[in-house]
Amino acid sequence: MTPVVTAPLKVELELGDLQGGILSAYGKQGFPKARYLLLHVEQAEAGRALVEALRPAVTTALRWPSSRGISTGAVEVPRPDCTLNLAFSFWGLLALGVPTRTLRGMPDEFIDGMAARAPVLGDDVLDNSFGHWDNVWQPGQPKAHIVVMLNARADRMGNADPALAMLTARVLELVAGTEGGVRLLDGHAGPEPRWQDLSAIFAGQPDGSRKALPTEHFGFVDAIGDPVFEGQYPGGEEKLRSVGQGAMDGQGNWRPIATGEFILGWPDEAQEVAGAAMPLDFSRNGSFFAYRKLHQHVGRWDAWVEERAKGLAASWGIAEPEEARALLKAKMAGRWQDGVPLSMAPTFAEWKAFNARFRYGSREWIDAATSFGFSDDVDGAKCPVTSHIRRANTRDMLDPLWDQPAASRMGSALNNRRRILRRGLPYGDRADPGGDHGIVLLAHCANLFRQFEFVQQQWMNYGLDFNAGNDSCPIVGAHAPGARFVIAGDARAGKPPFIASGLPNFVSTRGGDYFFAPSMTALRMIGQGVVDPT
Amino acid sequence: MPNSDGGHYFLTLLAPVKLGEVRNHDGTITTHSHVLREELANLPTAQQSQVTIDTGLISPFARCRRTHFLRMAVIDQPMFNGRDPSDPLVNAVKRRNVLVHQPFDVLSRPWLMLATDFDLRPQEADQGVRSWAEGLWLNSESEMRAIFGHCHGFDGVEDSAGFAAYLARCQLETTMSFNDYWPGRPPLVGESFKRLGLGALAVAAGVLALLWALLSPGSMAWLLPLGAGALLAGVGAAVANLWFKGAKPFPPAPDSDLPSILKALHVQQRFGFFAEAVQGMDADALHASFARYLADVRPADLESPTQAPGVIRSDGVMLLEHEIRAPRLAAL
Repeated sequence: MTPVVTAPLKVELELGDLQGGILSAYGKQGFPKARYLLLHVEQAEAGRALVEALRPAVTTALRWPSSRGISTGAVEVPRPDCTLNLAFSFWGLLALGVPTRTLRGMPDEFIDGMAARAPVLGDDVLDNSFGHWDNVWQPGQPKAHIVVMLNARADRMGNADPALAMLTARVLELVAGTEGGVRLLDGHAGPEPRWQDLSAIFAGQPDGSRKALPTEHFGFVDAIGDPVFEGQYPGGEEKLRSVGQGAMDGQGNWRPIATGEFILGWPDEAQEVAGAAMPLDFSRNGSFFAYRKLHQHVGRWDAWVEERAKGLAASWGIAEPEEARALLKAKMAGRWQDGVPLSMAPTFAEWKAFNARFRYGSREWIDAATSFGFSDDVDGAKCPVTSHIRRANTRDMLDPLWDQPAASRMGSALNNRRRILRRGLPYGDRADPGGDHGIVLLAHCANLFRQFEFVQQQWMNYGLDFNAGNDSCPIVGAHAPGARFVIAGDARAGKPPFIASGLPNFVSTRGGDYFFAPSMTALRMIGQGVVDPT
Repeated sequence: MPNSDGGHYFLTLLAPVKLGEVRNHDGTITTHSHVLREELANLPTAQQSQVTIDTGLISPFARCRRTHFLRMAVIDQPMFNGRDPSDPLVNAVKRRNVLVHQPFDVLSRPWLMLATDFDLRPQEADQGVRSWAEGLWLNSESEMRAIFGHCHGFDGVEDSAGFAAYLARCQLETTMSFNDYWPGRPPLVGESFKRLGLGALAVAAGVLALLWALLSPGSMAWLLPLGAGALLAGVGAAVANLWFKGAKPFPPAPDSDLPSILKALHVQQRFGFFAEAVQGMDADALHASFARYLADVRPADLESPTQAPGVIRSDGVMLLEHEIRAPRLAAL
């Protein structure tokens, strides 16, 4: 008998078993409005009944019919007007009666919750600390057990689809029906204390309509460098997208990151299936995420950029103030505000040329804007080594053998285990200087400690891995007295290094917690109270 | 690897902790290891945060300008890793009774481990171990008494010379050291199998020629045994060469003694502010400012101004206040 040799099978996720919003952000799928409601379970049975009542409405990762022509499967799922997803904190799982044996398999940091991790996350300094958090997230208050996440489409005037209000009413009605068994927690800062409203930033169009922008309040296009992992996209799409967004081997080859870095129960970048709460099908296809409500001090940001851009303009001989501002912001982010990376377009003129060459937002533009490394820019002359994107996704920058022949390099090996999927949307209106505005970041990963917390502590709030001492991220880092941002000079161009000093805190924590987004299988087990860890 | 490496001395010692009972400060009767652990836990740390600065206390090991790192811990027992693995088939054939317990190692008592890394002094006969130990006594006699007073054989130590002699009695050879001060790759030339092989062959050829000349054997039949012997000598020489090279201390990183490190930290912090302040200055003003900076910071003067041991900044910038407020668990 001849042995049958087959190629290894590709990871095929059962999309109907995963909750929606993980594989790709709702904001990018045409849902620019969102509402997050926090529930506290007083009685396990009432809590489980509520989960059971909502479960049929939960949106999965199944693909909707789209203009891209991607196959949707045998049974077509229509695109909803408003999606619904559920996630649980550790205390939520406890309150819902999940067995001890399952709970004790949960990771330490998830059990601790985000507030207890404040010293790790930098949430115990400056105005990141609890005293500044929304009431609903105050550590002394009843804990958030369940987060109900609604993401809605918008009409041409930028108003949320009525389905958002209808689903909200449905949730409120169910909560009311429990007669105190489940409570809606209020105390969100912002116009509506009962929940967190979120919205993409909209811009008026010539025809009077309003269009959702992919930007945040500082004006940057957000979450361009999101990781690509096995099973996330169908067929050739995955290979295509992994270039620039996956893992690189140091020789210019890219591959998607291992599924297990983001979805539990799959092999990860260490080539193992990490231990997780039992039973296996409770954890499998689930994902952890950090819910971070991050306030953006837009007034401080504008004023500081305005002032320091003058210094940069004088130092580098830039005549146009607008150009100096754009350059300073780009140096801080590592990308121009529209997402074009400094690594590909280090100067203002090259930025304009980049956009003249590639149609903005086209496939070619995205490819060019994501496919790059940092090993050819060790000193950061193009993109400063302490800029936001070099910290968030270090690509091949930490390759200890970057200066060796390509064959012996390690590429992004030290980066592959530190990736997070960034979901979430902006909230509030930046026009109101004293108002509540910022971004709610949902940082999805398989291991909050190894991925989210590490990046936050070591890469955002510290600089040792980049030979930059205590320097933190110029945009989202905690800025202690004496904080500065160093822009490397360019000797060839006759530009001296520029030190931008006196960084105030631009981004401050306003609350949040760690949540587990279970698979539909686990959601059924939780709702039915039949989690069996034996 | 020897005790001295990379310009530093890596001192490891194990001091036997007294057995028997002792009266604690609060009058309770307890064990020496219990009080010793408490003494260790109560030693002040370095001034790493505003909170520790505000206490006004600092680690006793920061009173010395030679100690890079020091750690003490109580070792109770070696870890038992379980039974030695064995092949069940071999056990069956040899009719071994696997229910019979295997012996495992225990220590006679808890031992106090001290591991430290300090600047060695090549001019002193013992590379500076004695002078370092005497300095530790002179800088922190009360702490040393409080700690080592719970160790066997310490009673009777009354002065720095006695303390140094006591530490020498407890010393073990350090077999693995940690060099952290190389900013790049150290200039070490590696060996290759090719180089080693060629060296071994060269030695073998030389030995063979010498033997042949000395013994002048009558028959070519001697070539094989003499050749084999020579080859053995060649391999032996290669092994000796590797052994000798491996035993050589790692070269010291430039300026990796503690006073230089502290000065470098100070210069670096001050330079950050200097570089920030002179941005945009014309050449003359920059030149004058730099002269003032040099006069002020005195980069070549290791004594002053410099950073004190045990602190993390010396540029006058306050550390961030950390709000240490443990979240209440009352509301779950």
